[in-house]
Amino acid sequence: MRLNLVSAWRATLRGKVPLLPSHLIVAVPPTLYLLILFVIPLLFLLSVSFLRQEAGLIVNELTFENYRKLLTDRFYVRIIYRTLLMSLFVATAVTTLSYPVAYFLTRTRSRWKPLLLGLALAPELSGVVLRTYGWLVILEPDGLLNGLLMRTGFVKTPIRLVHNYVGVAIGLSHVLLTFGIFTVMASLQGVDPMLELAAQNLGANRWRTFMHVTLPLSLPGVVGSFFLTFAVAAGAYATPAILGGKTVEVLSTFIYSQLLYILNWPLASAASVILVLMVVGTLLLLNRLGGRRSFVL
Amino acid sequence: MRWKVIQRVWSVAVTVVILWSSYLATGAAPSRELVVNAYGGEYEAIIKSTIIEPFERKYGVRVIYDGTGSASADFARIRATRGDPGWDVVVMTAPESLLGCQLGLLERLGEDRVPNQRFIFHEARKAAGPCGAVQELQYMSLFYNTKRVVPPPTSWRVLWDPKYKGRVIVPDIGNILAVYLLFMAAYMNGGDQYNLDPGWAQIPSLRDNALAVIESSSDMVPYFEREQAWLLPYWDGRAHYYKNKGLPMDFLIPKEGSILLVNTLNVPIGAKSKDLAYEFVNFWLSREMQEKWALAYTVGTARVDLKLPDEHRRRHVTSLEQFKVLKFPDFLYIAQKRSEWAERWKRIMVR
Amino acid sequence: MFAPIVVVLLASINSSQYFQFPPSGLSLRWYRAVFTPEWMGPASFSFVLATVSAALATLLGSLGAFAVVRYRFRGREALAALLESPIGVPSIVLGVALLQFFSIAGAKSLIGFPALLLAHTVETVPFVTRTAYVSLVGIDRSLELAAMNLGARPWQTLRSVTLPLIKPGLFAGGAFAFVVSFNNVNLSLFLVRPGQITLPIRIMNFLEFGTAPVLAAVNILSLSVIILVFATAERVGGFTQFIYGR
Repeated sequence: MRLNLVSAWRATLRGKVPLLPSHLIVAVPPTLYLLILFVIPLLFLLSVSFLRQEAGLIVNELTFENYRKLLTDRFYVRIIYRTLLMSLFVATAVTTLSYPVAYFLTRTRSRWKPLLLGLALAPELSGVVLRTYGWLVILEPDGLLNGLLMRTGFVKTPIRLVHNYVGVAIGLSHVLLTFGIFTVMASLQGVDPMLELAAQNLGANRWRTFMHVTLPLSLPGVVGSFFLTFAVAAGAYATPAILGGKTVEVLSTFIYSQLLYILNWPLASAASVILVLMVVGTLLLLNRLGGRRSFVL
Repeated sequence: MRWKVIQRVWSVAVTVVILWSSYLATGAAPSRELVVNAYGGEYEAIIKSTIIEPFERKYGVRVIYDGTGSASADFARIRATRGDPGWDVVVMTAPESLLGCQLGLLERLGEDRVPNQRFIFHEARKAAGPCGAVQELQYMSLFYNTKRVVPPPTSWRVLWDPKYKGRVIVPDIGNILAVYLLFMAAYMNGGDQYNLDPGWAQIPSLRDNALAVIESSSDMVPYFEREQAWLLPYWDGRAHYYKNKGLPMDFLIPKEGSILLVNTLNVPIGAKSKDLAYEFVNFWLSREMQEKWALAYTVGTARVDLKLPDEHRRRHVTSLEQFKVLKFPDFLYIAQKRSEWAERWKRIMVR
Repeated sequence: MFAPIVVVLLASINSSQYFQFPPSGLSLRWYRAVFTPEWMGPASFSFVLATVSAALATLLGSLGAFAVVRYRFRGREALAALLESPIGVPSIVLGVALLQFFSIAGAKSLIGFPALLLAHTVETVPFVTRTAYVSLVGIDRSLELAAMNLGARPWQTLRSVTLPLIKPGLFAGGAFAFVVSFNNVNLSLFLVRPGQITLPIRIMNFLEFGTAPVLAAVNILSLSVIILVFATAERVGGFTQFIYGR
């Protein structure tokens, strides 16, 4: 369909045809917005990552040095590795723990359902900083958990649960738990209970029904939830910063200090790109393994 | 029909309210305001009552106070914004003051703009550079719990003593205390500020002895208040403040000596209210304010002609002689090497 | 699961100076401390920011969802992907990218409220797009056809039939966008400026100086704000309908 500009213009003037096709009117604003404020800044970031920092100023010289540094120096590789490991752990823990809770919340017919849903949502509303602070108080050497453990005689001296990766993993898992629950719930809601009923009618017991009907049908959503949790965990800043202290370093805390303290913007950009690649790479991997799209839409 | 009109009016009104509040939220500021970035935490109250409020009253202006950020964080912001961080006056230390001046990010604070500079020790003025005004002097002291560390420690080596494992707070490299501690470690092991390797060799064991590695001095407070930490390097001024509060702690200079800290007031070149900023700096350096400040914040001063109690003079640096006894580091060197040291420090600290 | 929250809650009524568990006494003084400019400033700043960015995100997200659902055009798949993509990029990376972008593109003065607004909207558009999409897809088209058969013009149908039907979805997305923006940390880390600080960042800065029970009071109050927003969204938009499904 060739666009005859002149006749289109004439038709517009005569009021016969809207100036723009209506689908464009609708599609253009969000597209433009995201292009200018999302795509372009990210491309910018990518280009800065190939520049170099010298004596406080960015030098206009293309170089792979930032990537070479981040991918070959053991110190940085360890940071990347730690970030990956921690995020995988948190994603697994959250998804595993949230499935039962999500299952219960979806299937329950209790009168208290709205209240339970509200309770499940409530921690999320407090904001990550305050919840992390709460964990700091609980996990400290003089904190609640250690106090309890020592009082009941399980341990003699306090276990170190803060300012290390363990504490961060615990805190992060809790912080993301609500998120995981609701994402899994979304996919479980899509599983028609009639199918379960049918399976049971055909003689399957509850366990078999679950394993052969419910679980497979909800799996794409569960995988999606795993991925989302992983993505958020990999990019988390507040929890590792607060619970981890100065002896813990993940990609986001590294990027933060490079950007705001050391002021090495190219290096910070390169690390950011690596973080994005880590997240996207995991998505592609999961898609490959899953065989179908794990995202809604 | 009527309902629709009401709805429409309501949505317009809400939109207007939202837009108006967002305009207000962007901080459309009235004139005659000064933005000051200085101490946070509990010290905020001290500076507000001692310096800020009298200044506001005397000049009839409003001061917006920001207590966030260590000196190095503030300086990083000044650099990142090319001298326009959003503050008119900022408290930093000599290294930042010198480097910032060299980079052209700070305004010069000579006697033309800040007349009271002529009362400051010559050496202190030199340390702060042409863009700094020294409002106080401190030194790194050994701060210890008098109940738990008996008899009182005599050497910096006590921080490495395995007897106190898990009871020591180690400052992080972002805090200049860490730099000074590194220097002392070097001095004690045959090096000096230009040859720090003997000091670096001591840092891993220091980390292992630590309860926590913390950047902000104020962030260290809960640990010693709750007696989780018994030993730490700390500024004499702040240490004295907590001692006065009744904590079972005291501070001293160990036999190896210590290092002086020159705190500075600086005005970034992008400051909006420069004249007011210079007035503020001058105000803080006035005799009356210096005397008040020295006693309120329990610190030493760089002004020559103050009337201070002997007890105060004994514990803090207020005279040229004392100034010369303590080690006086190469501040510009510190500023230039800072990020290199930060990276090396990180490599040791991060497990 | 609620342990940290309970801990924080108990701290808010504790009378002692610093954090102690179990609490040593009861007092409301921390709540009084919250109603001062140093906390109300960031709190109202965050509130306004979240409201405006949620509104903007709702507008953009619903437009986008509409385009994807109702029309067939080249690049439709690309648009759908674009609308979803901010979720896949860690917010800290987006914050870095925007800070650098604004600084180097000479728009440094935007740092603060404007930059935060733009950034938060980018971050929350996917949420609204999703809920709007689900709502739109679930609408019975015959209702719209019926309206048009009765003589309504397309614009009228949109306003009187379609919009009311997707209202729950829009409000759900908007409420979610509000919460995400209000509590956001990573994206705001680099885009705040002195005097224009969001509440979560203020809390984090405050935490740098040790712990204090006033934070717990701040927590309770910000929770109340969010619950209020949810309640309003429910009253006006009925978004729990959306969560329950058809």
